[in-house]
Amino acid sequence: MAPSRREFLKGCGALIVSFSATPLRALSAEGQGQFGTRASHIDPQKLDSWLAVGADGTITACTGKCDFGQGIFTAQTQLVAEELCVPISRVELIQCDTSVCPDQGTTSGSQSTPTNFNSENLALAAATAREALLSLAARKLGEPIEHLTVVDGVITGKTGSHVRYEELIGSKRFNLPLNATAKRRSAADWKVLGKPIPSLDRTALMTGQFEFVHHVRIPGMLHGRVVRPPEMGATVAHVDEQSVRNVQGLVKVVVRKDFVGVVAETQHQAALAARQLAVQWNHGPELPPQNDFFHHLQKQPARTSLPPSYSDVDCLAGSAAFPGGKASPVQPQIPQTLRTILISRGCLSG
Amino acid sequence: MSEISLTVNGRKRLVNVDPETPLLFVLNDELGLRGPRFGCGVAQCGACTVIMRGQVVRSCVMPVSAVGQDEVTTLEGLGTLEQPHPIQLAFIEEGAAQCGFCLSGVILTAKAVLDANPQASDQEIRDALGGVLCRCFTHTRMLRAIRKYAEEKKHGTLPA
Repeated sequence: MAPSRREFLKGCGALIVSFSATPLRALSAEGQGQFGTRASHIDPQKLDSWLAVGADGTITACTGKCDFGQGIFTAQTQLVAEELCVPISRVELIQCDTSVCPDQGTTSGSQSTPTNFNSENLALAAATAREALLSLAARKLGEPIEHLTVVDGVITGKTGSHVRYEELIGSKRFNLPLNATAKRRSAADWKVLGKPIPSLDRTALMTGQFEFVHHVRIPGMLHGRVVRPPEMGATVAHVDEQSVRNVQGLVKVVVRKDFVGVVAETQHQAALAARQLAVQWNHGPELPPQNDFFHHLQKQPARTSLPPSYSDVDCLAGSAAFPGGKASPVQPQIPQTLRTILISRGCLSG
Repeated sequence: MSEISLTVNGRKRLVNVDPETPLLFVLNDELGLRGPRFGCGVAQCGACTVIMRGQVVRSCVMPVSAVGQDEVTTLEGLGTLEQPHPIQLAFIEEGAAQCGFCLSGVILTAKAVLDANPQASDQEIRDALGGVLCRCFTHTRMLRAIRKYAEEKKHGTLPA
């Protein structure tokens, strides 16, 4: 029997990095919504969707915000370790595997920190878990919560009696909702979070052991390639499927409106078919005049309000802290470059 | 399909593939190696870099049948998680990566240049890295790590 995707990933000790491929168009259409946490088959309102305590005391946490160089694999591990009062080495973080993690939309726009490090989502889950564990310990030790302290996953009462997380809940579910009033640990008490440490994935990256999503292989998986139009906004006029008839291992030519792709048994076959497929494209709209590009940009629809997480800035603008903040005479012109085009994108669907 | 014999990171490997298959796909899919990565597929970015005969090669455009008897060295052929190669160690110490997708190109190119000429200047190293793209803009730290390794190599302070 073929192993399930989850077992397969577990077996590999996989660290998944996926690069999001949300087209720019979606940015303006959906605004901030695309960064938010939404319900999938994993319910983000449930604590068990985010966090589990293993029989050996290991904390497994799931996140929908993914590291691709920002360092949030390490930072989110620190966050969970901090809130649960355990060393980093006791936290295992699973990133963005949507079969087991909450769907947190796109990782971009510097929104991972406000999303997961404030008082919602992963941070709230970790705080909820710590408070739940303290409640369980209070009952077990027969002492009020205020008398309990936690160090390295061991909860100790005033009498000196103590209990480990795994003795309270090891490998069992919390069966609790996220508690919106659960308190984050005070920044003044932080021992792990906010401390500079070498990123946890560094040695694996440098020695070629890190598993990017591009390297994940599932038995029997197929490979896809997108057939790119020759110019921006081109539309499909005709796709000649006969043109790839001779490509061995070709499984399917996929045409959905103006999206064209091929599916084959191997990467090589998919690449061959994508190159060989004869597609006639209708021209797209002409590029805006490049010699007057800033003027063109200024005429485009724009969102002038700031994302909710920056509302303090809105309040402060024009105040003593930011004099003249609302009526800045400065009109900076920054060359429009999108380094995102350099990302090699990949995804895996099971 | 043909049976093709390869020497990769010191090991003889036998694969059964279409001889036109790019070496990169064989390394990734047949041999399960993760160092070389598919970036652009047209030899423009360097993410798929390997070393053959002391030279850097873009494995995404080299048919596996063209490899012949030459040994192929990938990023994981230099050192291990437990015992990284000195150049990998320099990158670890300098934190010279963000996403790290380009590292095969950066580390192997720098190593090839310094193996051929341990006295290579910063400009020569920069020139060699001209064809390797890093979208995270980690170049300064990378150059620092390479210089660190170069100095250790020059002064013979590297472990054997």
